Amino acid sequence: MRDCVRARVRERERMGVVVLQVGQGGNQFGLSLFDALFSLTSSLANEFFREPRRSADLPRARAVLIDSEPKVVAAVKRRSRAMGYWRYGPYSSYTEDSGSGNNWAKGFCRLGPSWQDALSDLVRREVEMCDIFDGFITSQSLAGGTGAGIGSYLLEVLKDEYPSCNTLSHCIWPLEGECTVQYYNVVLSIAHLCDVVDGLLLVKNETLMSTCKKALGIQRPSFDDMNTVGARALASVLVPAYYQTKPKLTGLLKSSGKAATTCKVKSSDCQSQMMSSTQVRILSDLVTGLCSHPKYRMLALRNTPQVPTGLDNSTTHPWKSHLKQLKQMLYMEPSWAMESTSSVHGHKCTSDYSAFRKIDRCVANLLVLRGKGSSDADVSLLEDKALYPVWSKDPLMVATNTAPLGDFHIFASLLSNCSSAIAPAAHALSRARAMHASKAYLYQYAKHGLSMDDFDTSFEAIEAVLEQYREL
Amino acid sequence: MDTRFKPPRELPVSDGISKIKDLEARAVLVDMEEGVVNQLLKGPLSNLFKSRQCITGISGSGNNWAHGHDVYGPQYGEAILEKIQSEAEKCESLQSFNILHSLGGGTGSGLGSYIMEALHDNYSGVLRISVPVFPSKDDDVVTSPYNSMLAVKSLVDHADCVLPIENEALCEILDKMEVRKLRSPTLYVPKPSKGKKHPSGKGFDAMNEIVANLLLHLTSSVRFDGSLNVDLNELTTNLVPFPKLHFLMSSMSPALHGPSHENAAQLPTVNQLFTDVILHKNQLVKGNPLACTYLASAFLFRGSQSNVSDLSANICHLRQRMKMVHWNPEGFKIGHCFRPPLHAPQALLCLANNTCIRNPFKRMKKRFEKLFKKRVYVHHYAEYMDLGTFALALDSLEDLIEHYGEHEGPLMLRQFA
Repeated sequence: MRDCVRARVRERERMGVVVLQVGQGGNQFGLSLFDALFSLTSSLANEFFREPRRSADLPRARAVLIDSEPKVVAAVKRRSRAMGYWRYGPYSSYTEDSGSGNNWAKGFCRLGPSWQDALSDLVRREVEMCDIFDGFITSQSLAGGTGAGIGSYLLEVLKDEYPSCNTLSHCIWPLEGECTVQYYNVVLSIAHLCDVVDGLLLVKNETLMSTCKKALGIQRPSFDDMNTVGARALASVLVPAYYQTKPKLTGLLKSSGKAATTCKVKSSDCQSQMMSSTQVRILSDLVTGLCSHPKYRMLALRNTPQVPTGLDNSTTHPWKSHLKQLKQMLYMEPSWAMESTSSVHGHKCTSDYSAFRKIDRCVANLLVLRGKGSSDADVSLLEDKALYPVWSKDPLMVATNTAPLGDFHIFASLLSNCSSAIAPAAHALSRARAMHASKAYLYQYAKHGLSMDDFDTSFEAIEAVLEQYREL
Repeated sequence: MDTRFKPPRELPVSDGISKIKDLEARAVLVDMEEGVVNQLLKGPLSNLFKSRQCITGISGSGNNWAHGHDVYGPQYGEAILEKIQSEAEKCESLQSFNILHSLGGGTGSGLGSYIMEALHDNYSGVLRISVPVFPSKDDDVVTSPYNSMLAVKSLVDHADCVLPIENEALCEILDKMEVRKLRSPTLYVPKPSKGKKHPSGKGFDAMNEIVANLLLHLTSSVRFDGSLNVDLNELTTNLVPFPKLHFLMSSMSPALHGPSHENAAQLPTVNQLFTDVILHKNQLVKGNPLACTYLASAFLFRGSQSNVSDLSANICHLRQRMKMVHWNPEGFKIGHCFRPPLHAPQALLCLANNTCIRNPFKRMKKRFEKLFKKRVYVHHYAEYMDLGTFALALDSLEDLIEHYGEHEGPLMLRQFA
């Protein structure tokens, strides 16, 4: 192995990603995520976990926990300790007692700015504990005031403080009826996040619930059940996997501007001499490769199977059937007209929506295959030119790992920059506009400094994003 | 514990585990007569209240809003604010003031209004939640139509959120429990109290127990863990789309003790709780929300036997029966607290901003006009206030009724049409 490659491998091992958990939903999901990351592989110990000061202690999650009331963070920390494999750092959280009242404006315009210094310090402390810092992953819900409002504000601040680092925002899309003002909060969040994060991964609670019921047979799923499914899906693209050939990244190479907390500088010499097997660099490659175009940042995650299948039960061509399943999933998000008339709890009549089936066109895809024979799998189904716009060069990145994913002997994940978000975002926008036209709740937001014009600006921003994706 | 003449006081918020003698209520008790407050200070919960938290007068307000508001307000206002300040300072993070009062008399309504206005001036950033008892048609206070009307104006202008209670509704709930007791003898029904009774014959203690459960349920998410916490600020954000339309219908299932635990088969399922809670017979104000339009509603569930998918499924079913306003067809807020109430293994509270709240206001207006037409007792009020105040109060009430009426009507989106 050449020296520079050896050095690069060592650097990868020491790279750190900091997860920001904001709000109730964000913290609850974050707990499940770290649990999944820890149990699915041990070699991530340095990227998402750090060694404690005393070796007898448990590894610490590289996380910052933020909430506007103390109970959830306390419960999440308690549960991590009780599980006994890893825990959150004792000084890695910030909570207050005020609550944000499900009010995005209160989170973004009031609490965010007043907490800015404290949060900045907290984040910096965690970042400095990474030998090499790769970037942030945020876990937040879009329905409320803390995850959505304070989360959005914090990401703007971090974009300024860490301009060369990448951010993936894992956003939980609420169930219908979780919160009356959720569509305002969702629209305001997405409009602001699009400008500051590299990738926005939208995950619908409805989808997670449906997966729990249909695929896992859990009749009455709890948030814990849903979070476990979502966390496994996200972890499946974060735990190590390797590109077969060096991906031709269409993004700009990022260079560091700061000393201690920088992102890696890519040396073109090292690149040209790279071995054929390159580890997926979680944030840099993921978001730079998938979300290199500034107007396309919306991500969706699909994976299969949902239940572990034993090796003996595999068909002769297991990869073929899984890849076919993934491709079918690109069709499976029906148009919103259908979705709104079917209840959350089932019964999407296939014959009804076949007339509405449209494929989710993709800007780029990252396919991660795990398990025996993954590196030989035939991925041509997903190379189909019909999936991508003409201008997208080399849109499919494939990474594999022959190691199984926990109990799953075989696992395929597809992280797509695609138009799945159009339907739900359009629905949210239309609901938000209807409320806005009736001036409902606007005084609540105006109290904290958000005017009707600010709403209009956000509506336009979402329209612009939707337009881009419709043109695909 | 609440009393019939609810003096304004903050809700006690504590862990409920410590021995009662170690707890002190975050409360200020105000009354212009000494009797009730003194009883509290000597009664079984006397450890909760200290005399420094109390302000009492001697001669009462004569069931006259103007006497309470324009005489005792200025006279006792500073002292009351000082006491409130000293309680507020003990809070690390003050969420809200909960004002418990009746609107029929002079102190709760008149002095209560004054205090509400003072809180608005002095603590504008803190929520003011009022739980007023609306007078019933057989109220024994003859001037209650005047007092309640004048107080409502103050609630419109200065409260953030109001959860009205009507004694008639509470009586009907208790009636139904007694009927159920005939069928299932193990059913718990509160014993009639020895003290003062409502004209219907029901004891106030039992009626107050229902209201106490309401307040406990409302604050359960603030006190205990859950998968979807809902604090008081969230309730107002979600349920109050326009500043003056902040009068909420409340209902609970079960309102009081359900069947005893020996009859586990009779315990209501979570689906049953949802079905019950929107029925008119379970509302704490007389009205039928299903016949009118919902601007927004919140369903706060307590208990660990059900989870978010049950709650979500029930909301989906309920939507088909509820008329939602056209700009908010998904106007729901779900809350889930793991800790059940003391009186049942699971319980549901529904708070609804519904146009049927116009009905108690219309009744109030009618009773007022009947009395005012002949200027009966008006001279008592003229002693302390300008009579133009009546006109202003009436205008305010009419505006409120009209404003709610604007959101009623056939232009509702039926979600599953």
